[in-house]
Amino acid sequence: MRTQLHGPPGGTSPGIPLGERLAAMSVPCPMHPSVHRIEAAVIDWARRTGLDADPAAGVHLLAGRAFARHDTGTATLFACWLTWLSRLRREPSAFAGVLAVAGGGEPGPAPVERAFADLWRACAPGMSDKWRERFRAGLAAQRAALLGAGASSVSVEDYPARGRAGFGRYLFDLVEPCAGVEVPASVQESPRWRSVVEASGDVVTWCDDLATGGGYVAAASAFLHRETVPGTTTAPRTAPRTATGVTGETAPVAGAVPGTAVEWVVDRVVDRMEELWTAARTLPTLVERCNLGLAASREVIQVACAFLTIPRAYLEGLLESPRYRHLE
Amino acid sequence: MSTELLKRKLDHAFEHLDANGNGRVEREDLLGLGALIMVGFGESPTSAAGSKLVHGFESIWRALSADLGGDGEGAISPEEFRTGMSSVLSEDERFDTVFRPAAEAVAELCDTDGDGLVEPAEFRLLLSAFGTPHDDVDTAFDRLDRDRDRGVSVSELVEATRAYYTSADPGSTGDRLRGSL
Repeated sequence: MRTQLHGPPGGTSPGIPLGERLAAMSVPCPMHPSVHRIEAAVIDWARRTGLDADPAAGVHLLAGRAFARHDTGTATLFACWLTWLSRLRREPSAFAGVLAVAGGGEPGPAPVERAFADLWRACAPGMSDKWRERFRAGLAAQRAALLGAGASSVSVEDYPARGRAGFGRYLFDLVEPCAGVEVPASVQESPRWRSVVEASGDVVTWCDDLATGGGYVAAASAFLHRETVPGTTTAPRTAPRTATGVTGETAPVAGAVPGTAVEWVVDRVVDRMEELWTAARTLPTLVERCNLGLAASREVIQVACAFLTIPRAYLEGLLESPRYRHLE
Repeated sequence: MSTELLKRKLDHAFEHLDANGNGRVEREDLLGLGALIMVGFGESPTSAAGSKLVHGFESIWRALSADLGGDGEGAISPEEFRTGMSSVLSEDERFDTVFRPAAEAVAELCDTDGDGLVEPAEFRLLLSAFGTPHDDVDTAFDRLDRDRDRGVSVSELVEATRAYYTSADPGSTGDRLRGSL
């Protein structure tokens, strides 16, 4: 197994950062050599479309890491999408207009709609109907998740799907048009491929939850509070394994058993990375069985590599962000 | 000595890189090959072994491109590939600095259980990334596994890689490393 824990046996050492617990995330991502050009291009695009681009948000850094070996245009396009996504999350009322544009309508005056129209024109025409349908479904799912009940009311069993939708699973669909590759339907619709995409999305979402203390951490906190026998410190019977290495001091979780909730989620992240890797290593066999040919196989695997890189890239971005200094 | 043999081997290697058969090899071709090997062996671009492999392939491309006077963004023809590889591999020192890190990263990746030996299944997985026909793989492995212990050491695989790209001697262990010529 390649995603083994790096913590010491017995798990007694406190405060080990998540990246060091995972062999698959142990090496820092290389940075795109033109990251400053990417940053400048994103700021320029955001101004033109009326969005605010905050360099501190670090979208250029995330894109620069996720697409470090791609051309500057690929990383810039992804960074623009991240900027737009950040704005959309703060303006859920804009979903209706954005969905209308994605369905072929004209954008209204709102910057978030005009910016989306600009990005949609850059990406959608080169993709298939199925890709566009998948993107629109992801957008609709995010709208439902963000406008629905609060995350705290979601059970730990239901949270992964809910968290994935709320984070914006279409963000991972954008890897294809940004990289200029569409994964053939025979691969895209296979359970193995979907497992890779979903696991990558889950790890990113849960890392974000670890940073904010919301989402999965909140759901786990409620769950553990229910499950723990009053007056004891017995670990919940359904926790994946005894937590190792990450302490409650490293996260801002509020609630009855914050440290345990964080440890529980960290363990789930470790498990999910293992599942990501189990699924990923079957992809070369999958593309061979789908008779893609060598050139298409290599392109598809490059897309998969983005899914394998993004969790570490996202985690590094979180650790650099002024919002999450407490994670260091 | 047969320079014709070396030319055939380099042309064969070019064909493996030129996956879409357009007669040009670009940086993406080399990185795509590296990605297919890496993912097939269960590694991540952000794991230590995966990162070493990607850096190794990137270094080879930069050296090849620089020797041909390029900026790393262009494409390489079969003739330029032969010229560049001959230049990059003409001296032991350059093999060690440019080519060996990638060759070692690949060989170490193939040794999945860390026992120092690359076994037939692992070798098959490696060569499938190059697009080598399955029928050729066993022949290539038997050629490398001279003591018939169903394993090729990591160092033997690295040396076979060097021989494939540099030796003009017919019958060297590396001749069939990428399948039939």
